[in-house]
Amino acid sequence: MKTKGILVAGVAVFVAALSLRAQQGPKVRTLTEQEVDDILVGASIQGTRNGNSAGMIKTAHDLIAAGKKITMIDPNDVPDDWMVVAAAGGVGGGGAWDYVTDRVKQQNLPRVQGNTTVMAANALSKHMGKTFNAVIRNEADGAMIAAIQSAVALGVPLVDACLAGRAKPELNLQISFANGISGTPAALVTRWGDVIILDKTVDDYRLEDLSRAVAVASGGGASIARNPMTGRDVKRGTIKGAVSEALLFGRTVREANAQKRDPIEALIAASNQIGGPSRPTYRMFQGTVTKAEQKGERGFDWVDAELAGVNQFKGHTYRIYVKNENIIAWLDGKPDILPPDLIYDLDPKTGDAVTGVTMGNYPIGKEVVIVGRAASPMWRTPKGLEIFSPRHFGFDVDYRPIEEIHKTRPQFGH
Amino acid sequence: MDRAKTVGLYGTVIGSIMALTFASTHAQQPKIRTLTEQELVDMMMGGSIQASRSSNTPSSVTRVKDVLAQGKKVQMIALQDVPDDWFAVSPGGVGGGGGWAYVRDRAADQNLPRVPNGNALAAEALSKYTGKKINAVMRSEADGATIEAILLAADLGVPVVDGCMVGRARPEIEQQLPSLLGIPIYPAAYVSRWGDTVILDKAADDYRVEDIARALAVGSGGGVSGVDTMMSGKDVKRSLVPGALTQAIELGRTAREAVAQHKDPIAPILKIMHGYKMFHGVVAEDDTKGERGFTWSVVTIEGTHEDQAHTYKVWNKNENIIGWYDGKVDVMAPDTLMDLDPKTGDAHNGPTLGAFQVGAEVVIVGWASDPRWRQPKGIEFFGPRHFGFDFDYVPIERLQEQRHNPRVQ
Repeated sequence: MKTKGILVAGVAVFVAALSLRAQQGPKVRTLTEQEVDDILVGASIQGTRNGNSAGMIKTAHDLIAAGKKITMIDPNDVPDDWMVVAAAGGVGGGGAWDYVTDRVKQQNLPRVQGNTTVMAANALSKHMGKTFNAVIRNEADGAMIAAIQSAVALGVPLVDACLAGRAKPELNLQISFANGISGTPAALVTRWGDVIILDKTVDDYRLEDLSRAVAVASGGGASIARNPMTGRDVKRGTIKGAVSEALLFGRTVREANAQKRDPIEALIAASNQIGGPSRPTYRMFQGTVTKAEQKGERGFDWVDAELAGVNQFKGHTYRIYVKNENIIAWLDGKPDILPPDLIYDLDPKTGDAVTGVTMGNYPIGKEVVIVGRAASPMWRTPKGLEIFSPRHFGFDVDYRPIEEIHKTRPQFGH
Repeated sequence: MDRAKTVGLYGTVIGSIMALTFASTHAQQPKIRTLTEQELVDMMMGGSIQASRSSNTPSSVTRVKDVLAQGKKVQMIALQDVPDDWFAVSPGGVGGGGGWAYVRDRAADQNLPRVPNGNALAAEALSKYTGKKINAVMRSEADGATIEAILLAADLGVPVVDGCMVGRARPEIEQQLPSLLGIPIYPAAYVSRWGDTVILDKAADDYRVEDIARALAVGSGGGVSGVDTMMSGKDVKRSLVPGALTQAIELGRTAREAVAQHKDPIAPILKIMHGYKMFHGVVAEDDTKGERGFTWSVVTIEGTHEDQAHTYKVWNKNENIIGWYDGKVDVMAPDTLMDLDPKTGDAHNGPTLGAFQVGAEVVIVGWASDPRWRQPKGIEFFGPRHFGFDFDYVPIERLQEQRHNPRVQ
């Protein structure tokens, strides 16, 4: 009798401890408005192309004004059995099929009301019979605010991680793919409310082909929820700390601007501090945009841009090849930054990404700073370089790390 | 309980039992028959004759013979015999031109293995997604879709329905009778040649199904397998052209027998179709291009025999859509304009889907489409204005009457 009493008491304590643990849950913190603003500027900087942080900040402020909380969880704190989804915006469709756009206009086909990325997440959740516990950003820039919107709509935290650590033109250019984590099942929702489930694809290249084709046939874009993955996979196969890095970048340029310091120098110093000697960041060029030829074709925006050097770069020419994002840069005709290393095109006055142009484009006549940075070490593995390399984009050049090129290129000083 | 009531009750009970018995025997034994090899071979040729474009009968014949050689049975059920509670699907693969070359190149570099039977995999995926068993297969359109329906039915071990969703071939998916009757094409499932599986859960309208399926094809090296238009037996009965496969068998047999007896095969074909012989000539020019999932051709045929010194022009979007005799409109979709080989009565065997072989001798024939296509809604879906021509639909019999070209009796 007595023994039984003790046993019951013991079980009760155990249960109480368990429920206390469940109540506490994983460590999720609420981001302040200032943090969100900094994250969005930082995500634009990380974007490796032009951005629009002001637009994203407005969207975030509307959410906060509506009483929504934006929360974040460290990837190391994500429980192994959680299901995390990359529901962060869309697939672009540069060069959309005109006959679809024309017909739909004639038909006056109504656009679907609401957030199509969230609809895609819900369609995927229904298809899988699983609830999503958190949202992960698939890339930098616009995907950052899209991930925040999805997380708020689903009432779940954002994971402090990213599938790419930058923006990139193709779905398959994600580190999860290099780590054997499938991008499918995935769900696409078009602006007219078509719902397409990619139940299974051979690999992430095929996820890319099929999603891109749907975007091209859907007026030039489609929203997607993809890469449903366990907490365990988040921990082993994503770039951790990417949102915190955005926060640091955004805060750094904001504070430098407020103190009338050079935001670019401040950004480079902050980046070098977190990257350490093995992951350096450099001011590679500064110049005025003299050429920016854009065309939309089979789902992408392609730009060929040229800059005429100013200050210490005067007399030199920089060229950037853009496939939605900055892919390769040449200094005076010599390869200067090669993928997957990062090419940031920034506004020298603000330190933010260049604004006011269409996807991937450069504003003619404006002065731009090119900041180059070594890619995440995850991208510099053999598997990472197989996926994201100069040859992947059709250039017959071997990858050379930016720090090696930097040693042999002309020295310009700061 | 009074007597009248008792009798009434008994009557109801007996009536119910009879109804149940009838329903269950009906459900258990729908009238299904196994097709012979000769019937299937004839059906392949007849399916080509119904097609409204050039096609390749020998390849379909080889494929159907392979199925029988594997010991599979091909069974057919009459449209009116399909039980109401069955579910049927149609192979909804999309072919055509304009596939992204870089996808094909990359897949070749990767050495991606191909899946052998995409339609059956798509049927499996759709069945799993909807939780419904598939009891029968429907032919979506004439020509290649005939063999696709036969192969899928044989693979799934279910009968093919003696009907057709279009009654001819057509370039765009939404050009099918179920769409006219408000039966959606989705949910649909598509499988690429490499086994990627896609479910189209919902579309804004049937045009969007078309756009998306085309997109998947373009993004998959130029084609995808698929099944679509899943519908109940009840809907099958009201939305297909009845007897279309029996007609195909009859057309193929008739042409075969005429050739065996050294007779003109065209006349008996036209007799079956209540059709018109509109031109006899040699293909002089064929300007074909592949673009965004379609093959587009403009064809010029120079007259021979009774049409010496006359010219025929055909505008083709995968299928023959409009024909002009000496510059005057002679036949227009949705009516059928067909190019036949005068020697065999079979469809002209063109170089690619819809295209004409320059130098080949062809006979241009035509006939009225299913009456439902000639209603205002059908014309909206499938008439000349749909294809961008600035004139109204005129039925073939009126156009031929103006030309004083009598129908073959």
